Amino acid sequence: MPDLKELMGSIGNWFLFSKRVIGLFFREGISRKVLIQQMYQVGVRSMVTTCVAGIFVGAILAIQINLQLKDFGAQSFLGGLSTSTTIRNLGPVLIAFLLSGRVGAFSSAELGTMAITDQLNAIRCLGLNPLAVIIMPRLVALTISSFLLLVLGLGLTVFGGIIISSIYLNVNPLQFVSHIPQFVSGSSIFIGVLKSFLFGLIIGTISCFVGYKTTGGAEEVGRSVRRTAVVTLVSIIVIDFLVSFVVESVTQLIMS
Amino acid sequence: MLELKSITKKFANKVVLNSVNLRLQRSQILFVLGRSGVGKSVLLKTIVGLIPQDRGEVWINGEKTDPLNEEKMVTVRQKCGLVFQMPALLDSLTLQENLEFGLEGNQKSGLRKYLDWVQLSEGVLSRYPSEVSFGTQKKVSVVRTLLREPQFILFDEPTTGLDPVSREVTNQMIRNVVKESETGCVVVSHDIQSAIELANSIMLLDEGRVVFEGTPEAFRNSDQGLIRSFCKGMVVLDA
Repeated sequence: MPDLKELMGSIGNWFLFSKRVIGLFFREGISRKVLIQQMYQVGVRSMVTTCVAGIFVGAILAIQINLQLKDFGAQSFLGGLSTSTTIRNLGPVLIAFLLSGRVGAFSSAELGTMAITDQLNAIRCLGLNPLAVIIMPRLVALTISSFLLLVLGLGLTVFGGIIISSIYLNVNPLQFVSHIPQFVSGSSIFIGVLKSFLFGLIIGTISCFVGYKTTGGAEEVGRSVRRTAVVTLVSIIVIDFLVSFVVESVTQLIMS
Repeated sequence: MLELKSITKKFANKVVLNSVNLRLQRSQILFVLGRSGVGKSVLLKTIVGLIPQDRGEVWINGEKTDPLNEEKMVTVRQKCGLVFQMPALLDSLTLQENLEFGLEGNQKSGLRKYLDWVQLSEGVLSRYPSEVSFGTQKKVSVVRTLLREPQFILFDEPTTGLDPVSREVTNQMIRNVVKESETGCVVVSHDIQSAIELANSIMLLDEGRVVFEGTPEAFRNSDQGLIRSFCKGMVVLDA
């Protein structure tokens, strides 16, 4: 029971922290220079990893779906089905997992170190609010960068599917692409983009919150990084389920 | 005026500060002495609200502070700056960027003067904290606070880890701060020599309580055992 109480307390604190920082963004705004600097640090440096991951996620899904379709002689639908699955569900989740380790853990470790070495306290003692000058720009940059990386990664999953299909699965690239519009509707793209945004927000808020709240020594920074990785992964799965469930329910309601 | 009224702070069951009172006018220097772990740094962090007190009040220029109100404390910290024992510079910024972090345009005008006070050349400012010595980082952290021109500055062991020359530069800088800006300074230190030379008054903390408060002369002439053992180190230095 105390664990559940602690968990609820942490969720409440995370929510209040996120609300406060997002509120600061809308009230005070953010300088373009700071935003670009932060986005370069967290976004551009993760681009290669995301691109490689995106291509391979697309390739893996194409191979797996091809195994099922081959038995029914329906390989011509490979492009549509694999792209739809990738964009709606597995693509955002797998790339978000990667980013939570790459970007989330980095930010959490950086902020945790700043917290335990009195860097955040020193900022307070200069009459500045660390939430406004350190956390908010990072959170905004993390969210936007993660979102853009996810969208980029999703685009590349299609590319990965095309490459593996033409090289290994004997599916012509044109044939692969021609069935995409049949299976990938506007709502599929919307769901993919919505999930990407929510995952970006989750990675940004959790890594900043956990890093900011770090106390103690180097061991605690290690714990914060582990906590960020675990909590982000679990949250991504839960949000993925919730979005899929809500969208499916709403779609069925509209259809009936 | 900076005033502390009956400040009490406990960590677990240990009383770190026990009804501590303090009054400091502008242009005055108060040295807070005491053995390691008696709560000197906690006292400074309590003044600026980084560690909220359990009981008692902190008043700055007739206004009572509220350590639980983070937004109000921002204004308090603009009036009362704290220079940490460790330099606490932002690793990802150059020394110049550290100095200019969050500064308004007109606050940068004193930069050259303050760099002169701590005998730091402008050439070094393009480097990152990890590329310069501890002493240089410490000087930059002092200038970072001076640029904000607070009415009170709290120094946490400003001469610890510095060579004798840098120690004298730091002492001269504190004299300049008080003389030119009429700033009030609270200096937490183990450096008895500096305390005798600079302080208008000295406070000695032991087991959370103030066991002595008075002028450097009275401190030096006191026959309290703890003060005598503190002064022994100074006698050796004199010799």
